[in-house]
Amino acid sequence: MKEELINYTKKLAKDYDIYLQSTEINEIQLQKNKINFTNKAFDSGYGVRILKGGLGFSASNVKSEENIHKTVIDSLKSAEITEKVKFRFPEKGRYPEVKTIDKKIRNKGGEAVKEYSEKLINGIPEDVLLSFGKIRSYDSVTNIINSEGLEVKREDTNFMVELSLIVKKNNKRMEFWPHEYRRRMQDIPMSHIDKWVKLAYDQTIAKEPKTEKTRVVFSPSVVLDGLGSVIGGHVTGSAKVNEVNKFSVGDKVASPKLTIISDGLYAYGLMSGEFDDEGVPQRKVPLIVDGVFKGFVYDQFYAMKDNTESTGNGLKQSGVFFSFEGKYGAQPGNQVSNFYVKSGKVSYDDMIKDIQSGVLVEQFSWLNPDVTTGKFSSEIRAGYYIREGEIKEPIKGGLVIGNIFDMIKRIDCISDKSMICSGGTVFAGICPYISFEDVQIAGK
Amino acid sequence: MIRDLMEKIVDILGDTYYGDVRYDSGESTGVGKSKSEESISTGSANGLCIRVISDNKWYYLGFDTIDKKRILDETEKLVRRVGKKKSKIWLQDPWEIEKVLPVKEDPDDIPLEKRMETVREMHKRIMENKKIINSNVGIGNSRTETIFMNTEGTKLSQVLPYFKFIMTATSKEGKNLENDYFVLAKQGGYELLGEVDIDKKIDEIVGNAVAMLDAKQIKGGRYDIIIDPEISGVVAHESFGHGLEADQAMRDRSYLAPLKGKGIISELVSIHDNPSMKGERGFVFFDDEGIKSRDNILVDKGVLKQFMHDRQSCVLMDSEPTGNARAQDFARKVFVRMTNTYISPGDWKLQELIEETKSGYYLIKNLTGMEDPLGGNMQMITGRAMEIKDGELTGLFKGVGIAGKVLEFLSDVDAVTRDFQVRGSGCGKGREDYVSVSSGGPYMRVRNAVIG
Repeated sequence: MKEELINYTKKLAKDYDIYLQSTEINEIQLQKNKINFTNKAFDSGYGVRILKGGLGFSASNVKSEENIHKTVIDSLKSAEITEKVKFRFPEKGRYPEVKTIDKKIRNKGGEAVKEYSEKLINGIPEDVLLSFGKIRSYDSVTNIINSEGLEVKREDTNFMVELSLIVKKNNKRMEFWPHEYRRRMQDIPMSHIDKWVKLAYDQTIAKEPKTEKTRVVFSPSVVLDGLGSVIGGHVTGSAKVNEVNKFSVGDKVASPKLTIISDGLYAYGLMSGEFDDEGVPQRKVPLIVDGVFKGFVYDQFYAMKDNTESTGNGLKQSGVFFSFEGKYGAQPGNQVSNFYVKSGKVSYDDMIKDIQSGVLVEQFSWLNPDVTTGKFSSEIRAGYYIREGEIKEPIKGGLVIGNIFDMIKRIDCISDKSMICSGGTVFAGICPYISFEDVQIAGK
Repeated sequence: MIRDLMEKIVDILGDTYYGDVRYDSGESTGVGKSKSEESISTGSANGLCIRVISDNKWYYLGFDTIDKKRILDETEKLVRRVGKKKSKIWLQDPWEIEKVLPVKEDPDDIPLEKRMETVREMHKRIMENKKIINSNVGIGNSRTETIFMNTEGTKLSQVLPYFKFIMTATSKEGKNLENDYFVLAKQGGYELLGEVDIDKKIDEIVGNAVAMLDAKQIKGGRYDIIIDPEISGVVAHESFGHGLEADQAMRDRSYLAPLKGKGIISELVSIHDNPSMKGERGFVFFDDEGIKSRDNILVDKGVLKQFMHDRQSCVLMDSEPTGNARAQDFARKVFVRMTNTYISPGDWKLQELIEETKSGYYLIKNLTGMEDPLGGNMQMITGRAMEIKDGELTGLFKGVGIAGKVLEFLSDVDAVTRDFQVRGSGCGKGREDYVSVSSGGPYMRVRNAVIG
């Protein structure tokens, strides 16, 4: 199949790239502490980009010769119809070594998922209902070949856990609902369950917060969804070329405490890889350093539009509905790799100790700010009051209302540990806890 | 050839308590333009999903490559491994249909060049306003075929056409950015584009995007509000509907589970989930378990009537399947999902509703919504708002969040209009398993709602 696809593309097109990906998916689902579903699925396919005046694209997972030919012809036709672009496919680069594989998942995902599921069932405390659980592994191989002589291969593993943990206390039933992605199973250890169960129990006594302006601390995954979605939308070459960016290079856009990097090399980062989805080496790109905006991330298309070079940020991760398999069906998009917020100098404990009065948000129902304006208004699903330097009574409900662009100028403190995290809006980050001053809470 | 293979698979599955096989295939085309980019993308895909139930556990195999020998070997291995243990699952008499949902104008008959030119013209029109700095315009269509067979002897096939049209406008003044959009997502052909008054819609989104640059912020609190059909639909789907998916009840994860048969919200509110609503994005002739689609009244005049079911949940909850079993694709689980979910229209007219409201806000368009099936809390962000003073719409405000308990919110509905719209979109359960749906309803007035 691969040979026919390459030969036929070469026959019809002078400038092209071909993206092939195959993925084995293994999954177990749990209901009320028991396995009720197992699945093994295979997904493989190809996407073809052809440059002929415009840049065309077509993709398929159908491997018949007839369909391979149709896919290549469709790509060529779309290149001929769309407007002429300044573009060339990238040449082979010098690729760094990046850790992306869990050996437990590679080639034996089924066993690994079963083992993890059994551990999970045995590790859930008796007083907690594991209402449902999804445990899934992805084991992928990706090849990119283009007309500039680039031919690269990458192996990836990914792992997902989604759980609903329900507890009952004081005649109240409450849930904590984690949904985490990592490269390796060991990065979602059983010890996380203790924290999740505590968060669920604390919600049984949680009260709605009062309306006030106060200091608010975001957990790492909340930082990722809040800052990652908004800042990520304004630091791409695409945003710059389309003039929808709020930042210009050299602008002081945030507190001097804030440094953010698009880090494609972070060990076991979810977006890490030797190269992006166009075959360009991934790298670390400083976005904001000490509060000052430093530069944009580019894919090949927007780099050429803006007379610069790709930074290895042509990536095929979709927003909201994250994708692992089936990436061949999408074109590379200009996006941030792992959203890495550099840690501060104060431990999390000391950060809390310094807060006289405030709110800690561990989880929102869904933090999905308006990327264009930075505004958000989200319901607290699990949080706490902070009083006189201590975590106090749990809170739930009420809205946190703010604007990310304003909040990053009012950072009070950043904790000293950035950790790999995944969000509900932004897929991949390495983030710390951050406290912000004067944030509006709308509650009782 | 694929049907022959499926029949052989069903023969092998005959040694199980229940088994089925589903083949999905489809083709899609998208034509789009932004300020910096024109794109035409096409795609095709297929996949085969084999399911077996034994001892109340489901076992699946998913294949993207139709390799007959491998598929039959893996199926035989699976059947030998799981055996024929009895399971609590709905079984019914076999039935057969072959259906194609017709289109009046096949998008594939419109040359790509012409579709591209149409998109360029719309983009140009939107960009004529000097405050608009970017716009995305896209026209997309797809055609999917599903073939289903099971050990009951059922043999079904359906072909469904999808059409999507989207226009966005982004305005800018200094560093202040705003936007607005129009989207149409239904089942049908290119004729759907002809039914849109394009010039009027362009004027609306451009006007709104520019006007929003000067919009003020609402002070959070409790107000009387009027919500538009888009927001009514999201309340019906996200805040309410997810709690009526029976798998959530079976997991002890639905706040609505103990309330069946009870009056739970305003008697002015009735809620349906209707997979048989032809032309809407969640329409199917049959679901992914081979159950015929039908209109399901979930709430009738405030009284909770039923949950949505698949073959397994309906037996465990002493009910019937409702045509709501759906999967994202061949590689994912089939489970209870919504289709076309809406609140039924009432008697009022929108203008009457505004005139009869002394003070409050009229909320327009929905940006995001998230479910909370256990807690019944609402989490929604709306697009923009207008203040109502003495029965008249006055100033323009930026979008706000709606919070609170959905049962309280829907109990406080005191007026429902006959004006009614349904809008196509997509739904994930949690953060994955995307399926095509629609949601909608009338304009509704809600007293003393929490917004901010």
